[in-house]
Amino acid sequence: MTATCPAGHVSTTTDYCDQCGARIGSAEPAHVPPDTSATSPSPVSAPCPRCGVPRTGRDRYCESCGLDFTATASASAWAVTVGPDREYFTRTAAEGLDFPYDESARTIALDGARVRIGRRRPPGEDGPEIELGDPAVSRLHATLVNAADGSWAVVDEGSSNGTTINAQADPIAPHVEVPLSEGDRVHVGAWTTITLALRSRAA
Amino acid sequence: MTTFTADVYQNEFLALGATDVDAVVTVSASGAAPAEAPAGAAEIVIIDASGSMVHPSTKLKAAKRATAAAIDAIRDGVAFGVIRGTDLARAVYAPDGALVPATDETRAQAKAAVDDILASGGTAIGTWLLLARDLFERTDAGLRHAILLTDGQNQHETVEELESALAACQGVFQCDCRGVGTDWEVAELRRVASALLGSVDIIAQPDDMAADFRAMTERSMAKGTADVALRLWTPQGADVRYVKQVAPAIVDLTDRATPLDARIADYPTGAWGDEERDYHVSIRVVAREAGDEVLAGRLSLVVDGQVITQALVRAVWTDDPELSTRINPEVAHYTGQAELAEVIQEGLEARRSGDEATATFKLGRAVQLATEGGNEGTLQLLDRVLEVDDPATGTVRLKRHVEEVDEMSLDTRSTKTVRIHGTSP
Repeated sequence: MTATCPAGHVSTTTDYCDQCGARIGSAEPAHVPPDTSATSPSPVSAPCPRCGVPRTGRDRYCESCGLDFTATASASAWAVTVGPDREYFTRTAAEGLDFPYDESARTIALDGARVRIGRRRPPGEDGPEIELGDPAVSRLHATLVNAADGSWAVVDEGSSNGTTINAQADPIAPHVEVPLSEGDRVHVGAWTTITLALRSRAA
Repeated sequence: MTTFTADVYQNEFLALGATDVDAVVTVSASGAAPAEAPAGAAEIVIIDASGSMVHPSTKLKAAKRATAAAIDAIRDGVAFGVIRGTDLARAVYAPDGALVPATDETRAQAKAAVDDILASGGTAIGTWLLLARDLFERTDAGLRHAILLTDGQNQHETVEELESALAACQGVFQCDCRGVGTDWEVAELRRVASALLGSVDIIAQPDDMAADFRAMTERSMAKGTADVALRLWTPQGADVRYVKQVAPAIVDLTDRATPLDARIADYPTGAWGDEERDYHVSIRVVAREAGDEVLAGRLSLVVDGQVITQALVRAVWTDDPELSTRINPEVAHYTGQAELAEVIQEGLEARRSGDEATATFKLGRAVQLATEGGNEGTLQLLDRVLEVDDPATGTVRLKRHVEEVDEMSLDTRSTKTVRIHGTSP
């Protein structure tokens, strides 16, 4: 339905002219918000657990350091040192917390497919394999994951304050496996550093 | 089903040669509130965990309690998450990188994660907002609301970075902002809130935070209709001088216009529950002859591309001064409310820069306008920074000693208006 206004405009509205507004007596485009979808990161293949050089094919020994991959796959080849780290504590500049000078580092052998890192539980409650008294560590903070080739990776479990590696500024992305090599340091909470170590082959 | 009505208040009579048409449009929505959990709603709480949040330590503790109170107020089924903001942004609760529907179990998990939050590092509000945007965009929720709490200035990114984050978030979600303590920047947080169609307020006492967070979340849960636009048609040769929301608070929408063609533009109003809001529209038209009538503006509300109600702003030229000089009470009231916000902000700015004469003049005018408008709350706030000798004439003296929190409260709440009979909408 159209009307003609006193000025001669043809108007789709019949009360007032839709062009000049003169008194006489609608089409609406659709509005669709743009849709963006997320992409997920791609997995990374594991390098030599000791020196970090990529493994070629199904080689038994590492091309670079000579590590016997089959030997490292056996249980207890790996361990972590867990303890308060003054340097990391200074870097996080965690406010309102005091560094635990009385707490010493401990060594824990890595066993099984997954080793969980989390907040210390009250007595009688089942906790993660690596229990920490650090107040900024989440209940389930991160997991060390044993890859098929015997190397280890760390996964942040969506912790409240994040997980960083080797003093880097940015935390690793949650729920993504990050491969670790010998000597790599995993930082969690306000002061805890977990260092990956390859135990003596004799063990 | 939501019903919107729009009522126009104006004096349509213009003197010969006059061109400016002012009108107040009251929009009221009913049936907008969801009976049950709003299908397709999402809520994110963004909590500042910069190092300063533990000075004093009550701040972070109160923020954690407040976040827990907000989480408790999220209805079953609403997708939600929590972001920890420092110079980085981190999803403290968003299992598998996504918002999850609220249940007793997920609410408990989220509260445990919030409890673990550690304060350290700086403040980069833009990165917090961008993470919220990513999380919201992974949901198909239409009603997307965030609460942002900060205690400091946005020091770890540039103004340009914040502006580009705001541009990326506009239209994706709405965000209510709260500042705790007195180290944050009122203008900065007001900018964030107004860009994201949210409110801004100061939380003077950490202990007040939980009640405020709960109330904000409950208001958000009561919204049932997302992305409502105000559509304004104006005739050939007309200019839109401004389009402002004037109640419950002043939000200038003029620069937010999305033109549909030469004469029609849409202005965003965000999500609606059962509520009333007032808008002040000012249009400059081409002057006509005595007795001529034109339509100066056709306002409608657009929901999901459907035009659901309309209101007409008219202009009639007359040589009868009796008609053209009539003052419409609604337009006069909101003109005063807008000036009130302006003189408070300018007066405080002058006071900070040491220009006491300008500060006294502007804040005196504010007392006068607040008295006329019935702004009881604003008068109480003005009273804390001024000795008021005569409210009717705006005769005031600046107080020698003013608490920073009082000055910031006055500044932050300057855009809060009252409706014509002195009531909050």
